[in-house]
Amino acid sequence: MNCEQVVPYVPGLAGDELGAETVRWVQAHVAECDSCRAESVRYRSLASGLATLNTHEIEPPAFLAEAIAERVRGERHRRFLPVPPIVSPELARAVADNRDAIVSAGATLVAASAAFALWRAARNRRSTRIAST
Amino acid sequence: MHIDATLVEAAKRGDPEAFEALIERTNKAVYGLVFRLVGNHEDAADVMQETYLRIWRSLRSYRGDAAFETWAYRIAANAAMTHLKKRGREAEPVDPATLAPLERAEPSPEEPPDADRLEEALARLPVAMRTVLVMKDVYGFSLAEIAKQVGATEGALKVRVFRARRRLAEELYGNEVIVPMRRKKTS
Repeated sequence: MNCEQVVPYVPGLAGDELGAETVRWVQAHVAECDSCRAESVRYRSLASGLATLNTHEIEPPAFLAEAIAERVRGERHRRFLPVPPIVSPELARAVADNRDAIVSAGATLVAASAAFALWRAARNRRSTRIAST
Repeated sequence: MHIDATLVEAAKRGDPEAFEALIERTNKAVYGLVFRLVGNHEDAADVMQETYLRIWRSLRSYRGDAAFETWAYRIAANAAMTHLKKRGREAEPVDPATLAPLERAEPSPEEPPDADRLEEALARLPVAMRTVLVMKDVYGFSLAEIAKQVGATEGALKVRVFRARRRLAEELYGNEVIVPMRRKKTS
């Protein structure tokens, strides 16, 4: 094995993604190659830095918690009927995620039905007029 | 963050105060994940609202198999990925080539780079790399979980994680320290 073959796998030594056999031959090369060993050590320290990054707080905007609570309160009042338990959470989420599309499709359907009803009524009136003359 | 199970149970029963207490206790930690995924405060605030609406809607289905915070992270990551897909190319960070170069980390191999520098380097990665690295290496999501979130196979995801780690290392240490991969010649 040479560096060119091993280099793509070196970042994998810092995680748990490589298979045991791959780890074995990558480590065998790393043990003998100074530059790949240095790189492997660097990836490990990078991985340990990343693993503790979630304790590094990112301050949310001051208004956020209240804005979220307000939004949830609004949703609670809007949804006066609870979701029946037979609806799976996945379906409920899909409906919630696509609410705008569903409302648009419904509105289009209602408009199309109304147009069809008007057209039909007009046609019936014309037929009646022709029959009476 | 550790969330008391009785608080979660009360929120599940529909107690609004308990749910607001959940928001209060978890929003900082969840915000960290969302901000690191979407890359800016404005989008993060939108995604946070969507996240907690989803949590509220699906709280009844939470069975406690995983810790509440783990479950909340999953929902937040899903909301963030939906948001990023909608934003498309607009979500990409400013081209790092146009930014001032990141101050190189001291080439001390055993010392992890400090958190601020890591955050800055992560923010410069393309969205596809940043998101997998944040989920995998910062928050410890499994490959299977991330594959589901980003819609990729686990094999493709591994390659993306390796490339993301390499790119992050290049951002921090430069090409002279990290051995560059030779690109295949295209005829």
